[in-house]
Amino acid sequence: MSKEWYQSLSFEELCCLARKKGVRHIDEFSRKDLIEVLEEIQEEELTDHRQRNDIMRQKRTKFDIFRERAFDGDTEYDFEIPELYTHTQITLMLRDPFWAFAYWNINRIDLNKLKEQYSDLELFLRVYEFSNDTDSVDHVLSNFDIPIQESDTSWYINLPVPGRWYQVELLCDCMDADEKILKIVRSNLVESPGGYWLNHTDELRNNADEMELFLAGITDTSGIITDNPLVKMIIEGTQTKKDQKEYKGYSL
Amino acid sequence: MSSGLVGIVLHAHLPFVRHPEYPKFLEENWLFEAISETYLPLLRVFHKLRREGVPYQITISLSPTLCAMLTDKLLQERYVDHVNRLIELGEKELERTKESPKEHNLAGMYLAFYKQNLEDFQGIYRGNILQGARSLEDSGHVILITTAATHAVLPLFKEYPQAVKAQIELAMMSHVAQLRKKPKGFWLPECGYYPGLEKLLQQNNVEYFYAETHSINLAEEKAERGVFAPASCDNGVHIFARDYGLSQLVWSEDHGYPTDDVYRDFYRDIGYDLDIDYIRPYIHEPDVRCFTGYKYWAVTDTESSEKKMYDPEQAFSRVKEHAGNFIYAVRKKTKSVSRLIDREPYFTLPFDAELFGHWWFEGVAWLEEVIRGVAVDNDVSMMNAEEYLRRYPRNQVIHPALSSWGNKGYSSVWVDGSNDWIYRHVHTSIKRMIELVGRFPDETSLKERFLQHAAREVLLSMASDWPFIISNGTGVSYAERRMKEHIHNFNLVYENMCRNSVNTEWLTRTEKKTNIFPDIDYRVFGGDF
Repeated sequence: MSKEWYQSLSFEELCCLARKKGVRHIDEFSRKDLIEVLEEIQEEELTDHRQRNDIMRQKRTKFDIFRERAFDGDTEYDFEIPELYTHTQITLMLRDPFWAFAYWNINRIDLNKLKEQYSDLELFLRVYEFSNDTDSVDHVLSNFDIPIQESDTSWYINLPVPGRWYQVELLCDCMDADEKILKIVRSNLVESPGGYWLNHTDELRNNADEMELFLAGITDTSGIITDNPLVKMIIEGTQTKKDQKEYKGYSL
Repeated sequence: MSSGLVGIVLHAHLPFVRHPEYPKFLEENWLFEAISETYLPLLRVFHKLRREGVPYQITISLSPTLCAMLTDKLLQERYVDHVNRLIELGEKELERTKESPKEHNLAGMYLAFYKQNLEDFQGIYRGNILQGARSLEDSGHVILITTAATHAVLPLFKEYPQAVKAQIELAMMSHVAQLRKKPKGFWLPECGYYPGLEKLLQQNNVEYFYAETHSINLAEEKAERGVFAPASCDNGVHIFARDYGLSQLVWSEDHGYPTDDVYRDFYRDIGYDLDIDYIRPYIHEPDVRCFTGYKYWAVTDTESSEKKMYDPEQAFSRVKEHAGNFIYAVRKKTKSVSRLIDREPYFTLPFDAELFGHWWFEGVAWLEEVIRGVAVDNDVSMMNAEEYLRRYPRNQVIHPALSSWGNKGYSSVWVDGSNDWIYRHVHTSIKRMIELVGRFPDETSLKERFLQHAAREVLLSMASDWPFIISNGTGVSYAERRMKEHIHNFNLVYENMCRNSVNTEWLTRTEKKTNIFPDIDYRVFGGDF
């Protein structure tokens, strides 16, 4: 979408587009401002697009039949869905080896009861790292806390080490009861992937054929290595400082 | 030198989009464009090669949602209307461009293309192009496999094995109903694999599946043959991992073949370039400009909006060069990898089918040239997974790694700040569906129909396409609407069933609209895990 294309739209169409892009306080914008904001958003989207891998970028064209519906007559539909659900639960979803997404619901009645009992409450997430899939305290390698607000309903959690298991608890710190901590709910366990080579980088470094076979699967004909955080860690683990300079040509 | 074995897999998928409540619906064009630009041209090439006796082995994955649309009478009729409009536009274009010989020739080329499509669609296939694929499978040129029922990225539903099982089981049933043969292979949507998934695949008699490179390369064990041979999961189900290097020759947006400057540009289309009064009957109402398929410009320079006129002769000459280059690259890689493993290397090369013809206009011709080239090459052969497993039934047993072919190899495209809100709802719907199966295991008649429809809605809400589109930022309102529609409809059934009531009028109307999986059994969400 070029500046000319935006110029060709009516003010009403520009407002509609901006609203769909999440621009707030549109009433305060002039036509010129709206075009500038939409161009900025487009530039951000382009940057995001460039960060995607080739498959995701090409796949997008499957759905590319219009550049933008300036006017979307189909937005008026009546499919209401609840914002939250009443049951108390927390779910942990693994996004990649280093990030998990947690979302939760807290039953309002239960929370209000707690509030009545303890006037000063602080909610937080406690993330546990395990060595295997037994969520027993004997296998906890570490844990850390993330303070949250009552209005929060989800969180992206940075997982410190790949190849481990993680679980999260939604807890409540009752400040006025000798800092008594109550467990509200515990999530499922998720396993962050690791794999053989992550723990055997020396073997890979010392065996040229193994290294060649490993790289042959993940390198394209121009020498660019697939963009994967674990592959990056493995290759870094196999490199001496001298190698690291030589590998700079690869897009890790 | 040992021979390099190439296993090309074309994955054909589109989400279920069918809107009888509107006379025309823009997003139905996803299907119509794919039929015109990919599916019919691919079938033409595969049938031509078969007639000429050129040997080849290709695997095609057909998603159940795509099959449902391809066999739907309403969408078949709408496709014919769509192509007729494009033929009418082509005739007008011949007149408009008569003073400009290059454009005029291109207009004629597209007009002939759409006329051929209409002839094939109505004359040969009588509206159902799956017949063409089935015939190729019968003659042994093509293997047809399936994928998850609504193309759910399965690792995102790992906590709900009943739902993953439902996606697999229904896909297998639907494939048999549409294509009359039980598939042995399974395409994991977005190559999304999680450890343990093979158990559910095995329960449905799946013998092999496809996954991303690092499923094998980053497995718990050292892969003795890298990704250049399949591996076996510990239950005997085989996994074929993508060869990143060779498939990038096509996939890469920076240096892949489709980016060559002489190829046709995908984005420049007369739907955007011509005067609105002229183009109005061929775009979407009210004056929403969209692609028409009449594209007269070459890629030229991907960074520039200044384009050169497309020259088909020059482009098809480049196709031959690129096919030759591809075979050369396979030969070269075979030579380097053969030294490292104890068998001839197998290169698993999966692509979205729609890449060929739709995005890369010359892609179908390139595939034809590759097949012809390989047929007479002594060092490279085409081989499908089933033939390979007959030759090498025993393969290294490994525990594959979590993987997908999304950004950085995992799920960040389908779980990001723009689309993560959907999982709260989809997961809740799945839990409630499992609960309904437990509470109402033996319903018949109207209540059974109500529950069948609930299962349909849950499955449709699991599709990978909606979070993908939301994450991309184009066409978001439709994807959000679809997510909300499925969740809303499911909740309506759930709440009614909890009150022991059935909204008959709503059910009949909704069943007519969302007519996918007519033989679904809601108990597919049952089972102990």
